This record gives sequence, structure tokens and C-alpha cells, in this order.
Amino acid sequence: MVQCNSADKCFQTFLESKSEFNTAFDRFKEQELKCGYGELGVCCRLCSNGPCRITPDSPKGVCGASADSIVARNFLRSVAAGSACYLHVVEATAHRLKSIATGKSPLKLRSEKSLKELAEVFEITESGTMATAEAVAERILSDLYNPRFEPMELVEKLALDKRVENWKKLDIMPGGAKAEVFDALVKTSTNLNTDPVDQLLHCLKLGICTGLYGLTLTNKLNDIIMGDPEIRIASTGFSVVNPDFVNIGVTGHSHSVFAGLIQLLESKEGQQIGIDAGAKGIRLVGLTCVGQDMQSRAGAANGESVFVGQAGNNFTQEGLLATGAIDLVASEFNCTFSGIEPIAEKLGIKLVCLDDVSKQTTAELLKDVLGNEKELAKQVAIMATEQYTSRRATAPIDIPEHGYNDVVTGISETNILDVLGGTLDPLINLIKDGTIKGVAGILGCSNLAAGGHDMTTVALTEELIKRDILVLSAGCTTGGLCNTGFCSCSASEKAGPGLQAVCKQLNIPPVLNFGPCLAIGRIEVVVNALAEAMGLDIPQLPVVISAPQWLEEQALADGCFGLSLGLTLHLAQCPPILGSSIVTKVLTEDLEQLTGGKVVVEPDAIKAADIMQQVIENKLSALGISSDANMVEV
Amino acid sequence: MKKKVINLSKCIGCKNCELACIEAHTEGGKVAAYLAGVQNSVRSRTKVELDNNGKRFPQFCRHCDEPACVEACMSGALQKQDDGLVICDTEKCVGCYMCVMSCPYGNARPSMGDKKIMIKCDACTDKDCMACADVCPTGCITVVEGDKAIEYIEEEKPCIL
Amino acid sequence: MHFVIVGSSAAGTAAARSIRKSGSSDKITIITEDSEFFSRCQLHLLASGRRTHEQANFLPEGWIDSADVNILWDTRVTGIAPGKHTIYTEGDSEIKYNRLLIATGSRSWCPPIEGIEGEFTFGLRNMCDADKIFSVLPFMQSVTIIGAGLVGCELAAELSAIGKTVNVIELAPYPLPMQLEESTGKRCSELMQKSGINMYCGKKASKIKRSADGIPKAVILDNGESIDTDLIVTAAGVRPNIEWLEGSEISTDKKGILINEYCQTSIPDIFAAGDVTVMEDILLRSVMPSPIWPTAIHQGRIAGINMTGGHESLTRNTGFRSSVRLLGNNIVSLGPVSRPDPAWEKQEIKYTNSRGQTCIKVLYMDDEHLRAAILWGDITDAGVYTDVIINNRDLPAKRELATSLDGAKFGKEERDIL
Repeated sequence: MVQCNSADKCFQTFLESKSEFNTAFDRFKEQELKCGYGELGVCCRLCSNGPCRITPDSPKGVCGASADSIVARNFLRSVAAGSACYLHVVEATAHRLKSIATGKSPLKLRSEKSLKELAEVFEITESGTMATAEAVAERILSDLYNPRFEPMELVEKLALDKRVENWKKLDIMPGGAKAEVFDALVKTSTNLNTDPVDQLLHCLKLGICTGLYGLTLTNKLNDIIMGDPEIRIASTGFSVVNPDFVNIGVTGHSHSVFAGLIQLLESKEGQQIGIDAGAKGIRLVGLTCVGQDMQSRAGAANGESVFVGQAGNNFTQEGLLATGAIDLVASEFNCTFSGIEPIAEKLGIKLVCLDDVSKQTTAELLKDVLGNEKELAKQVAIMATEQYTSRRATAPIDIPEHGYNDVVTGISETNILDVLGGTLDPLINLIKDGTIKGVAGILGCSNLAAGGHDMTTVALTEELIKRDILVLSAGCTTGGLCNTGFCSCSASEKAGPGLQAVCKQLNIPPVLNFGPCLAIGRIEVVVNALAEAMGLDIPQLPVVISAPQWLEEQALADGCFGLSLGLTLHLAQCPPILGSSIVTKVLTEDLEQLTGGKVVVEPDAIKAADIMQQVIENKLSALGISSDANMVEV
Repeated sequence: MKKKVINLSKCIGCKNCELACIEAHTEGGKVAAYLAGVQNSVRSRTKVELDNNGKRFPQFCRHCDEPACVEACMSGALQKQDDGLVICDTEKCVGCYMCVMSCPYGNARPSMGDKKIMIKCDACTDKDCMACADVCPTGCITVVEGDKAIEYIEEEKPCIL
Repeated sequence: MHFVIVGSSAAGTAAARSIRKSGSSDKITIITEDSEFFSRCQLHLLASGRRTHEQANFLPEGWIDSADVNILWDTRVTGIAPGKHTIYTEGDSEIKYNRLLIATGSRSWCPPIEGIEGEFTFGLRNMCDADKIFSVLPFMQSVTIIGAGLVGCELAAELSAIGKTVNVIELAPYPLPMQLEESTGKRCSELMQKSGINMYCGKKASKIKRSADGIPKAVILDNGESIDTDLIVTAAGVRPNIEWLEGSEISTDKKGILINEYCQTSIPDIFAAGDVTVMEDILLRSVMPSPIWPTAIHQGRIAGINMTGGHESLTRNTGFRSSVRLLGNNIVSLGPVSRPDPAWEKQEIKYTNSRGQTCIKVLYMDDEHLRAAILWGDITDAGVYTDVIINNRDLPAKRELATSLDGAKFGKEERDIL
């Protein structure tokens, strides 16, 4: 048995049957008790006089720092690290585009349409695909590398005018994104900044860097390199794995690292590597966000689909390996758990890392070098095939019936308009006439702490759609919602009458699957567009977001973007800020007067839905759309 | 005798008492003790876990008047001493773990290292102070003079931490 | 006042300690067949030579003097005349008592197998059995143990560890049939087999083949299979030592002396405690022996209190508690897992903890109550399970609580399993 529940009962049952493996679900119990200081954020380890812990009897650190300073410092450090992660991905992707554009990387570009659109936004005048691509990449890189005193140019091109106005007023227009991260580290080092408000404003700047660059632009670049998302029906869950193939599990967030491998596997030559070893070929199996990303674009690839589907979100990876059907796991970024290492060792699964930022102890590092994509792809394919040959005779394979084969996937900020018939007006009208009571983004990670794997995500989503609130989802939340059936059209049965009718009419599920956590950026573009179409600012929209089971520092950086956009952000678990009354008050109350956004913490899914619904209702009534038609029955 | 008073309202779950307990019962100082605890399974005699209501509860041997562990001990290693403490003679213990099976508080623990013996609180009788109380940063664990070995108390007003 | 105690093991000595603790300084005489104090639970360690006689003494050094007791070692009781407050020992000596405690325990039962009587065939119940096994071991390579209960299994593991070829024959389909159920039983069998012990479960020994001079050659199973052997140890159960009570009007059944909750026999000034007694088991609700060390100690203590005029009673009498450390695996069995009520819902929980240890919990639940449990691997919180089972604790609203009990769950609440 696993010692922690999952909302995905089928997965849980499978994991229970694999009791010979120690997984996060077992370790969660061992780590159940949390250190109170850590939870409250009041432990400071910045100097040799410490660690200092703030208590009522000792309310100041040796240096004199208060709980407010310590909490804010710790929080800013986390946000900076999370922001750095996403900036790493956009930087790598921009370099990839530039490398392709200059002919160094032997890869093709798969969406000229997206390139053209982005070039238009950037007001790039160069002609020719490759010259345009290079200019786009250069423009992004130049912003990222700006010093802190030079504002990033693209911010004003990407953000809503009203937001830019607000950010200028608050003086949080970011300088060079990497410099902002850098100075966040400076600011939070020993005996430097102790002003909690200044540090929180810096968090908002990092949020803007994260959202516009790390998320939105990474998506655009990936669209250009990897192909645009396409709405289609796909399969998710462990059943996507076919043991007749050499199977490569992919984890991470930096999709374009796999561009070479996908290109190789789409070729006859690539598949032949597996066929020569007696397999039917070589397949990619999705895990974590990079799988979600591949899932959203798989239809865009030419020829045979080499991506079999998304197996599951972050906390399913140990279970997927336990099926024994994966021969090699290639990881290029985070959400690759160390817990897979002993399982891989036991089952003879090869682990490779394609970027040293995600180097695992027992994995082999095969560095992704620009221009070397073809060789790397071949090396990975051969390695996986060799592993297949050496392990399959003895490795026990046990793939459960798991997942759904009618998942609607590939929704993006662009093609959602196609679903709605070209403009956002139908959605606006549905909200105005009360058929749909509002829009909620269910975003981010899964964790085990909020009642168990995907437990709060599923309970909250179920509650929201029941109340006719349309749910947009991206990240591991989506992975979980796909494997619990919420991204299938049949889930409209669980929706309230208004939403259900809309779902049936448009043939969509009540939860729209945007893919990876990077696609939180896509959802925020949709929100932008909605504001534009309605002539409003974002805080006025009947939209709320929730990261019900946020896990990591990246989620905190994402959250800061939501806050800088002026959105109300629900979290089921409080970040480590409660030790400071100032930080807590700013984030949960005062911020509303600044950006329009705020944090709401509520662990109970029903109560959280009540709060989110109330927020939407208040916004609607402020807009004067609180008609009888929009009376909400709870 | 020395009485350990545990004020439940003040436990913050930092586990400093666990660490100090391991250290107090391991040769070689703090880091060695920690590594021994983490890697080689020297166990702490105390453990902080959550009670039924999700509240932090530091578990300590109660040094019972009629100790079930002593009744279960077939080697004679566990004895209730005249001073009221329940002490294990680790040379005599054969690691049958009947005490583990019998302590209703879960405070008789099997060792995890190579030496298979039971592990329990010895009230730090060979030391000047009790290690767990000594390191407790919130004053949750204190030592006073009293007529029994241990007492749990809870304040009406909960600690803000 | 003269307290006479027959038997010097757990129950007998616990009674003597309890009489002293109650404040009595009256004369105490212990009559015993043994030659020294020893812990019966350690006999397998003595048989293999891992521990010495001295180490097996479970009493503090100098206890006889500090407790001020008379001891008649190597003395066998042969009869009793309750009307005369007299017991008889070998050689027809008479000993008068005011209060008597019978704590004569039980002895190995020798199963009726053709050819079982003879050389190099021992039980393992007394120090002399362990000594005999230890003394002949150097000349023996193959040992066959008949019966895979606690004694049989622990001895098998000990002898296997010192390099002997060990065969274990068990009638039940798996070892430790009183402590385990099918799934853990099979696991245990595999564990023993893997460590080199030859397991013959679900088999019956039908004959012992001996050489002309009576030395064991082989054990023949009922399926005709023949197992070469040099030494045979029977560990197939015990019988109470009650024959000397015949004609005394002390109520017995074939499993032992009937006692009430004050450890009194049918004759009020005669008490009994330990393996020789039978009483209602609180978990199975059936009159039976509770042949475990902790119960023997507890009964002895209660008897001692009542013999000095106190009024303590046994409230939680049960023998369904065992802990065994077998081949590196800790196993605790609680409640009647061998005879579960068909209405109980069985749940098996298996996981690997982050130390890589396989952990199993087999739980038998009845509504909101835990009735029986087997813990395998991590037994740290076994005592908490004992408390929950023996005290019939409600596990309100949170049945899953049973899967993860630990010492913190019931907070500061006082608990008693005795």
C-alpha cells in the first residue's frame, strides 16, 4: 500500500501493487512532521551567527533582523530561484532558435505562422524566415541580458497597456531578467536589504520576468521550433506505453532539447535503430510537463507520431518506471525526482540527463550542445535500444489499464478562438448572460501535502465546474485532471447545467487542457485578450486562478506573475510566510490596492470554491453584470 | 527526582530533541552522531509526530509505575529502578522486542543498526542535564524537581508559533 | 505465614518479587526442578552457543539474597494434599504451606511418530535440553526440527546461522501458523528457504529411521520423502505439568489448571500462574492457556499480590501476542490471526520504506475496531497496535488510522495494556 492517497485511484492501486519500490508516497509519511520554523519562514541561515530562529522570546536575529525581514528574504530567494528556472528555459530555447536560424543547428522550423505573428508583435522588419527567426531570438536574448537599469523592451509589447501603466506606477517594470534574479540574490544576502515591502515588489518584478519571458515567450519559441499546438483527441495514462517498442521516458520543461530526437524518430532511419534490435520501433512516453507539451503538439509533427502520449504528472514518474516498460529516461530539466534512481537501478533502466542543471547522481550526462542535436539524438536512441536489448529478457513488465483515450488536448491561446468561432465574444456573452458564471485557471503542480496526490486539484475542479465555472488548466494539475477524466468531453456530465450545455454545443470538456505549466503563459494571454476584448483591466475580469497543489519555487514565481497581473490567486497551502505579519498582510490584503491581485489560502476544496466563486461574483457585480441570470446557487 | 515537563503548547516540531538525543547516545560528537543517525540508524529515544488532531506531539518514555515493557522483558535487561526510572541494560538485552510489542506508547523501539537491542529513554542519568530539554528552543521541554519522571501539560492559550 | 512457590521461571519468580513488593517479609520457598534461573525464551540461543548460562539468567545478580527466598533446586514435586496444606517432593519429603503458587509450566510434547523415542532426539524446553543439543552439535551436520512454531523457527535460524543443514517439518501449510496468516506465512517460508533452511510445510513426519545402534538416519515424511538427519528436535507443542495434582480436587482441563481472575485455583489458598494455567482469553473468548512470557510475569505478579491478601485482578488476559526476530526480520503478531472471525475484514498493506526495508501490515478490522494484526519489518509502533487491540479502542471516523498508528496518535492519554 502507498501511505498517501491519490485522486487517481487506478494509479494508486497500481502503486500499491508495487510495494517492493519505495516511492514519494511512502516517504511522505516519514516526512509528515514539518519543522515549525521552516513552515513559518522564520529560520535564517545567512551568517555564521545563525541559524537564527524567531520566537516570541527571541524576536530578532543576532543581526537584528525581524521576522518580517527574514520571511521576506527567504520568500524573495525562493521566487528568484523559481524565476531563474523558467528563465533558463527561455534562454536555452532562444539560443536554439538562433542556432537554427544561423544554420548551426540542423533542425527545421515547424511554424512559420507563429514566427510571423511574433515578429509582428516585436515589430521586426527583416525579411526571410531565417533572418526573422534570428532577429526574434536576438531580441529576446538581448532583453534577458539587459543590465538591471535598462528596462526590457518587449514587456510593453507583450503586456496589456493598462498593466504596463500600473507597473510603471508601482515602479516594477523589470530591467534585464537575469540581472533581476541576480540582484534578488544580492538583496537577500547577509546584512543587505531588510525592507519586506521592497522585497515583495522585487518578487512582482520577477513575476513579470517569469510570466512574459519564461512562460509566454518560451511557448512562442517552442511553437516556432516544434510546431503549433493542435486540438485533438489523445490518450493519457500508463496504458499509452506499448512494451513492443523501445520506450524513452521524457521528463523536464525545455521542450526544444528534444527537437533533434523527435526529428530523428520521425525518420525511417531513426525507427530502424529500434527495429534492428527486434522492437517495433522507438517511442517517446510523456512524463511531467515536457510530455504535456509534446502531447499538445504531437499532431503537428509530420509523419508517424512517435510520441505515444502523456503517462502522468510529476508524482506518477516512480510508478511509471515500476511498470518496467521504460528503457531509458531522458531528462532535460526539473520535476525529475531522485526517487526514480533506485527504481531505475533495480529494473535496469538507463537514466540520462541532457543538461547538467538536471544531472542526477546515477544518470549519465549527455550534454545538449547547439549544432550537435543530430548526434545527440542518435546517441540517445542507440543507448535506449541497447538498454532494451539488455534488459527486456529479464525485466518484469506490468502495465496497468490506466488513463483515458478521449482526452481533448492541444488547446492554445490561438486555437481557442477557433473553438469559439474566431473571437472571444461568444465566451464574453456566455458570461454576461450567466450561462457560464466565470473562468478559473487551475494551474501548477501536484503535491502530496494537500490531501494527497491531485486530491485538492480534483475536488476543487469538480466543485468549480459544478458551479458552471469554466476551468482552464495547465501544468501537472492538467496531467492529474486528464488521468481522472476531467479533460474528456464526457466530463461535462459533472458540470452544472449552463456549462454542460456549452460543452455539448462546442464539443469540449469543462476543463480545457492547455498542456504544460509553461502554458500558464498561454492562459494568461487568453486573460489578456479577454480584458482587451472587454475593454477592461485584468483585475476587473470575472477570472480567478488557483495553484491548489503548488509544489516548487517555480510555482511561487508563476504565482507572482498572476499577482502582478492583478489576479486573485488561491493556494491550498500557505507558502512559508506566516511568521511575518507584514508579508502575510501585503500578499493577502494590501496587494489588492496595488496590482489588484491577492493571495487567498484555503486548504478545503469546497470552501476554496466558495471563495473563488465569491471573487468572480464581486467582479461581475462591479461590472454591473450581476443580473438575475447570473444568480449563483450554491 | 528530576522531572521532565513537556508543555505541548510550545512544541514547534523542529526535532532538535531527536537530534540531541541521538547525539547524547552516540560516541564522537555532533556530526558523527547525526551521520550515524541518518545513515547508520542509531535511533533517537524520542520522536515528534502528529497526534490524531494533527497537533505536534513529542513522545517520551513515561517511566510507567507498572511498565509493560519490563513485564515483557524475558532477558531481565529492563528493570524498574527504585528511583522510578525504567532502564535497559543493553548488555543483557537480546533484542527479542517483546518490549516493543508491549509499550502502549510506542516508546520502546527496535534498534536499526547492527546491534539488535531495544532503545529507550535513559533520562540521561549519566549526564548533568537531559539532552532533549537542553536543546529545546521553545521551552517545551523543561526539567524540574518532582515526584515522577515525566509530565505532559498543555496551556489554555496556545503558543503563537 | 509460609509462601510456597512451585516453579522458578517467569511466573514463580514474579510472584516472589510481588510478595516482597507487597511488603511481606514472611518466608518464601521456591521448589524447582531446575538447577538455575534461565529465560526459556533464550533456549535457542543457548542451544547454538550464542549465549551462556550466566547470560540467560533473567534476574538481577544476587536476587535470591536480596529477595530473601529459600530455593530448593533440582527438586521434583510429586503430590499434594490440599486439606493438609502439604505438598510432597521426591523421596516423600513433605513441605507445609499457607499459600501455594503452582507455576510448574509445561513440557515439550513428543508427537507420536514411529521410532521417535531414542538417541539424539530432544525437545527444547529446559536448560538441560539446550545443553544436550549444544553438546552434540559439533558432531552433527544435519538437524531436523519437527514443528515450525516460535521455538522451531528460532532454533532453525540459529542453527542455520552456525552452518548446520537444517530441515523443518510443519504440518500447517506455512511456518509460525499461530502467528501468521497465509500471505505472511508464505513469505516467512520463502525467507527461511532462501536462507538455506529446508522447509517441509504441509508435511507430516511418519517415521524416524535409525541405525542398528539407534542413531537417527532419516526422517520419512508421509509422502514417502526421506530426509537425511543426524539429530532431531521436537518443537511440536507442549503439555502442562499437572500430573502431580491428580486426585487433589484442583480443577484442571487437559490444557492446564483453571484459574479465576485473581489467579486462584478451585481451592482458594492455592494459586496458579504461567503456562500451567488456563483462563478465558479476552480476545478469543475461549478458555485456554496464554503461554507467553509477559502473561506469565503478569499472572505471577497478580498471584503474589493476592497471596498476600491483596485484591488485584487480571483484566486483559491474552496469549495472542508474540514478537519474533527471524533472519533479520522483525515480526509481531497480535490477536487471533490464526483464527480470525469470518466477519472481520482483512487488509494487507505492503510498502518499502526509505531505508529499503519491506514493511507489511496485515490488519483485521471489525467496524471501527482493530481485532488482530501482523506487523512485519518496521515494528516500531507495535505496542500502540497492542494497546488498540487489547483495549478495544475505537478508531472513530478514521478507519485508515489503523494503517498508520504511532505513539503520538493518542497524545498524552494514559494507557495500560496489563
